[in-house]
Amino acid sequence: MTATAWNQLPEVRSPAGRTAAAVLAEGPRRQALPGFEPVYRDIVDYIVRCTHRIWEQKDIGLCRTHYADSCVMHTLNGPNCGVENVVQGTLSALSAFADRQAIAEDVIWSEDAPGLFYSSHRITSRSTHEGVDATYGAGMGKAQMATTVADCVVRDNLIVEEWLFRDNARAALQMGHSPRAVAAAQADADRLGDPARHAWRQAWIDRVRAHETRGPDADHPASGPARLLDAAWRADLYGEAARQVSPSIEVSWPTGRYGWGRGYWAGCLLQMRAHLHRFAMTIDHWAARPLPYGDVAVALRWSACGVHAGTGPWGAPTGREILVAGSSHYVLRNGRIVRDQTIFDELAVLRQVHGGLGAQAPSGGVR
Amino acid sequence: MKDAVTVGATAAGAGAGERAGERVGAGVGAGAGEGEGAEASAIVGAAADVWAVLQLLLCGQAAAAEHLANDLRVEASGHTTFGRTDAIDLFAVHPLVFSDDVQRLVSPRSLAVLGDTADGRAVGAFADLVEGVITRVWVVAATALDATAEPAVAVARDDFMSQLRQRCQGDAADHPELQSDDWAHILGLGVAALDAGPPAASSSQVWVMRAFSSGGSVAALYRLRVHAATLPRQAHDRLVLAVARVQGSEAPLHQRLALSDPLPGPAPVSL
Repeated sequence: MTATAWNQLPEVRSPAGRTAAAVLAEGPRRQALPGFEPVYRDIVDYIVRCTHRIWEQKDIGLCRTHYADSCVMHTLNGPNCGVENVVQGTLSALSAFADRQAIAEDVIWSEDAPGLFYSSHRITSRSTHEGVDATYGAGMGKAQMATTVADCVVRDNLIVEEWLFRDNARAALQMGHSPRAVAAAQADADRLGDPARHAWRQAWIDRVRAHETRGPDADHPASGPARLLDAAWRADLYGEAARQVSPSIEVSWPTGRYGWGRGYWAGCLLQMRAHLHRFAMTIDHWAARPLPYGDVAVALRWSACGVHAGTGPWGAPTGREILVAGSSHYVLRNGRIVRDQTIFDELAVLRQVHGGLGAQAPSGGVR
Repeated sequence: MKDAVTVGATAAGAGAGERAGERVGAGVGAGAGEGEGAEASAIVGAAADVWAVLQLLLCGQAAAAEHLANDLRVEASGHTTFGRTDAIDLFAVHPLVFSDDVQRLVSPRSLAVLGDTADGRAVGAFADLVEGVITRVWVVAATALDATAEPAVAVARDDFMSQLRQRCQGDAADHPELQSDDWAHILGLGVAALDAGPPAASSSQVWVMRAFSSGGSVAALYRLRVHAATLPRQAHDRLVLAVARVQGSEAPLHQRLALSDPLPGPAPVSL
């Protein structure tokens, strides 16, 4: 149940295909935003503008008026809790990649209850590694351009919960690093210290396996893509799913995967599934918004897990249970997917493959 | 201008009948009548502005920036860019100068332009438009010497998923600016694009990326996946821009194809 239908308020526009001046233009409010700063015209403007103010204008302290004290930021590397950790994380990132341009591609939002907003913000950020980064060390002037999806729950001008998915393996490659080497080093560090700090991962896996979410209603635009993910990943009916997308679907998946056509789309889904046995998945949230010319943008946030017992780009099977969480943004035309942009952090997946984040190998070896 | 490629009018077929860009406004929809003159003029006016902006962009002129989508994506000469500033920087290094008399087709959502370089090579550009703002651009031309692709995880694929194969894949329903009678021409032009290239295995495939009708003409952008005709099987991608005059079910007139060089393939990554 939502307070605003997915296609209400067409004046609250996607940033897709708009000039920078149009996206950042100030003006009167276009949407009821109780408790939000007056500068924000609507929920899309809030997301895009606060990102601009914090990351580009470098007013990092605004995190304190835009994140709840008890906020939780979920990533596949672990949760980040509390606003001061958000401030510190932002400072660290900008000290290494100062010239970050966060170019908004879309904000697919819903109002899940009056004044309670959910946004799925797709950004492709360009930045140069000039400072010292905790993972990559000293900057060598290499550029990176990674796509991120940030899903936020927002109320009263505050982000109370966030899920952050970044194409970190692609970023590592762009900077000349081996994702395998980076992930292995992270995994080595993960095995030191208190293993209880990785408990969040097992809790997330347990929720996926419990499969308690219900999925979108049939009359919501997200129901179609959700049904296709179901057909592919739960029923292993990749042809059935592929026949329902455009024959010329454009596909962008993490770590440089890019192609056209049903065969490529099915191949991406099948590759993931082939890695992971005893596969389970959930659709955790969905939203849809109108795009120009009658197209529809759909965001699906999903979680998946399975035992790494299949071969593929992640290397030899390890028998470890792996958690994958991500967001898929689709463009629908006449109800059919013509574009799929899926993001998950494949570097964090590799970190688990190498035994990090609490991922244990079975004592009896891979079965 | 550094290493500029200059593109002029097509060698054949140039003339008043080819200035489709200026008849496109009147041709969109059921046909222009007196009452639609103002709307047609507005469309033509807007189209002219978009053409001017595209020309500025393709020359790497910063003045284009404010008229481009902030999230502009460009695929040109083997390079891909994201964001309007990177696109301008790319064309500042690899400019493409289209003269005003090249073949142009325009619709509310699309702009296609095709001409010849001085040495007779057909070169084209296709732009997606949203309310007069350029949001995506593909340039169909030679691949620049400095073009490389990012490393990428390889994905095994079956482009047909059937023994019953269609060489050109697409669906007319994905192209709302295409008149339904023109879809057969689009498919035919796609197959012609595949046949126009070097010998390719039967597993080669064409996808219709974009297609629209405009004033008795059609324009289409295709992506080709060309498998070598020999073993080991290797594939590369190319872009093709096709424009043609069409009339019912008759074979297209004044058909022109611009075929890109092979696009750089990503080095496979083992994670």
